[in-house]
Amino acid sequence: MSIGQRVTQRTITSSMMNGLQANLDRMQDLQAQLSSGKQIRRPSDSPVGTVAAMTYRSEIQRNEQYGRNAQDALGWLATADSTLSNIHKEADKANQLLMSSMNGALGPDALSAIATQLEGIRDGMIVEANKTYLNRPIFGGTTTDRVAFDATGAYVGNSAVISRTVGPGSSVAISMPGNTVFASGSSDLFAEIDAIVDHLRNDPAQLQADLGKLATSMERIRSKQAEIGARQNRVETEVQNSDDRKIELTSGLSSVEDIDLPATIIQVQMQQVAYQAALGATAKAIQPSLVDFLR
Amino acid sequence: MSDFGALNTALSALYAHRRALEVTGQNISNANTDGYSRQRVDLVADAGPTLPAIHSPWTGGGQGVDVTSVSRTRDGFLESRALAEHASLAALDVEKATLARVEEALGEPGDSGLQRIMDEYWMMWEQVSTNPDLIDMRGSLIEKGREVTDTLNRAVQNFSSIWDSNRELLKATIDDVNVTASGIAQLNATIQTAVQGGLSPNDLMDQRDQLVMSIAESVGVRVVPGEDGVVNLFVGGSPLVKGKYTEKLQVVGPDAFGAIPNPSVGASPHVAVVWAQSGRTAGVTGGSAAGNLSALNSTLPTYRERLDQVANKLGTSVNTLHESGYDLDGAPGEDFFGDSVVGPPFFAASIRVALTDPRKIAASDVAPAIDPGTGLPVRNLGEGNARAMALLGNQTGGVNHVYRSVVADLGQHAGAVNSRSGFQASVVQTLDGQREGFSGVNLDEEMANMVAFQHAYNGAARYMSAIDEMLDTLINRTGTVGR
Repeated sequence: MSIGQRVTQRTITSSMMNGLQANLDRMQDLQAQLSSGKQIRRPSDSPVGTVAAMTYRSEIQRNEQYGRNAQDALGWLATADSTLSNIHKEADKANQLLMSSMNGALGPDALSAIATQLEGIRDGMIVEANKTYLNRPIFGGTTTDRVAFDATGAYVGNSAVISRTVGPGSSVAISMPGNTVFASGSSDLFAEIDAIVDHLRNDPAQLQADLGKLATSMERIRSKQAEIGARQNRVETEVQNSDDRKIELTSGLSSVEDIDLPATIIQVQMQQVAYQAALGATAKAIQPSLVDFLR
Repeated sequence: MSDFGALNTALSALYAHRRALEVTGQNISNANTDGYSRQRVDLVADAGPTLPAIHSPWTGGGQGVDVTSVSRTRDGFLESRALAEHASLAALDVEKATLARVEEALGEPGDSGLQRIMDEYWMMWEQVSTNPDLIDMRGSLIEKGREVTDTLNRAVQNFSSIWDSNRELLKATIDDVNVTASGIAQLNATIQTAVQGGLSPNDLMDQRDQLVMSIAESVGVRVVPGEDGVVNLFVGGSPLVKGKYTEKLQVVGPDAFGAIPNPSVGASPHVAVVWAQSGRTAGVTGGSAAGNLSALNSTLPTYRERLDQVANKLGTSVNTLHESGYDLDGAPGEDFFGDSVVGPPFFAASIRVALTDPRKIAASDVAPAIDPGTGLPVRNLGEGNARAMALLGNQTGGVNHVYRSVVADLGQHAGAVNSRSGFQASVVQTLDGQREGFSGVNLDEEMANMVAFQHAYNGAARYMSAIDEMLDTLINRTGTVGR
C-alpha cells in the first residue's frame, strides 16, 4: 500500500494555522484599504498606478495655478478695458468740443475757453492712462515706476509685454505698452490734444486736419479695446477649460488611487464569511484522536 | 536449545517491548516539541547460531528478539532542501523589509512626498511671475526651494539610517552565527562520544539540527555528515564547523553609508563577511546576512544614486534657466541651487539653496536697458523667466519625469521582491509540512503501537509463565513415580 503524505496532528494544526493566517492577512489588507480609502499606499502596490497618481496630483495643482493665473489676467484685462473706454469717452468729448469750435461762430475768447477745457481733458486722460493694477501701471510695460506717462504726456515705461500662463501651453498677453495704445508712428493722442489746444489759441485753420488725426487715434483705441475684449474671451474660455479639466483630473486620480467602496465592502464581508468558515472547520478537525476510543 | 534458553527468549521480548513502550512514551511526550523527530525501536529477530557443529548441532529456532538501535525518522533529502529554501527565504525577507523602508522614506504617492513639494516649488515660481515686485513672495519661493532641498536631504538621511540598522543587524547575525557554530561543535563532540559508546543520542541530534537550521537562516550553509554522527558545515565552500572545531566569521568594511560609493562610481569599499583568521571573503550567498549585504552594498546605494540624479537634474536645469534671466535690480541671474560639498554635480544629500537675497531671483526675461547717464541697468518687472521656470519641471525629461521614473522603478523592484518572497514562503511552508509529516509524531499511530507493544509484552510474560510451569512440571513432578 502506498501512502501519499504522512499526516500528523501537528501538520494538521500548522496547515490550518497557515490557512487562518492567510485569511487574516487578506482581511487586514482589505481593512487597511477600507480605512485609508486608498488602494495604492506604497509604490509596490502598483508602480504604474503610483506614477499615474503622482502625475494627476501635479496636474491638479498646476491646473489650480492656471485658474489663479487666469483670475489675475482677467483683473488686468478688465482694468485695461474700463480704462480704455474711459479714455475713449474723454477723447470723444474732446472731439465734440473740437467740432463745436469749428462752426466759425466763436470768437477767440470762446476758443481759448475750449482750449482750457481740452487741457483739463488731456490731464484727465493722462491720469487714466497711468491707471494701476496691484500698484503697477497697466500701460507701463515692465517698468518699476508708478506711472506710464509723465505730466507732459511723454511715455516713460518700456515696450515689454506681460503675459500669464492660463492653460497648458497657452499664455495670454495681459498688458499693452502705452506707447502702442496711445501713440503709433507720428500719431500721438496726448501730443495731438496739445496741438489742438495750441491751434485753438493761435492757428484755428489747422483744426480741420487735427480732427482727422484725433479720429485716427480714437480708431486705434477702439481697436485695442476690441483686442483686449478678445483676450478676455480667451481667458474666460481657459477658465472654463480649467474647471472642466479639474473634474476630469480629480476623477482620474480617484479612479487610480481610491478604492471602489461597495466592491471593497463586499470583499471584506466575503472574507469574513470565509474566515468564519475556516475557524469552524478548524475547530471540528482538531478534536478526535484514537485516544478517545481506547479503553 | 536448552529448556532454560526459552526463559531468555521470553526475557528478551520483555526487554524489547518495554524499550519500545518507553520510546512510544517519549514520542507522545514530544508530540509538540519543535524540531523533534519521532523515534523508532529497530527490532531484529535473534536467529541463533548459524555456524554448523557436528557434535552439538543446533536444533532450536530463534533465540528471541534484539534491540539493535533506536533511530530517528528523518528524510535527509527533505532536510537539506529545507536548509537551502529557508536560507533563500531569509535573504528575500531582509530585501523585502529594506525596500519597504525605502518606499516609506520616499513617501509616494502622497501629500508629503518630494513630488508634492516640487510641485509647490514650481507653483511658487508662477506666483512670483504674477507679482514680480513683491519681495515677500520671492522670499516664500526661496523658502519653498529650501523645502525641496530639505526633502531630498532627508530622504538620503533616511536611507542612511536604514543602512545603519542593516549594518548592525548584519553584525549581530554574524556574532550569533559564531556562537551557534561553537554550540554545534560542542554537540558534535558529545554526540561523537555517545555514538562511539554505542548509544543513540537522537535528542541531541535533534537539538543540533535546529541549530544548523538557525545558521542556515543566517548565512546559508551546506551540511556534510561526518563519521560517528557528527556534521560538518560549509559556508561558500570553506568549513565553518568541522567536527568539534569551528572557524569564526567577521564583518568588515565601512561603517557609514557615506563611505559606500554610488554603483556607477565603483564597487569598493563595501561591507563584507570574511573569515576572521585568514581575512578571505566568505561566500555568503543565502540567509539574512546575504539580504543585508545586498541592501548595504547595492540596494541603498542604487536608490541614493537615483536621488542624486534627481537632485542634479533639479540643480542644473534650474540654475541654467535662472542664469538666463535678470533679477529685480537688472543683474543677470546667479545660481539658485548650490551644493555644500562641491557643485555641480549636485548630490541629494547635500544640495541646498544658494540664493539668500529675494531680490536676486531672476524672474525677468527682459534684458534691461542701460541708463546712458549712469551706465547702470534699468531694472524692470518682467515675469517671463519665472513663467518658464514654472514649466521647467514638467518638460519631457525634466525633474518630475526623472523622479517619477525612480518611484516607478522602486515600485517594480519592491513588487518583484514581494512576490518572490511570497512564492518562496509558500515553498518553505510546503516543505516544512512535508518534513513535519515525515518526522512528526502521529498520536493515533503511537496509540496503535502502544497497544501492539503492550500485547506483545503481555504475550511474552505469558510465554515465560508457560515455560515456568513446564519447568515446574519437569522439576517437581518428574521422578516421583512410586513415592
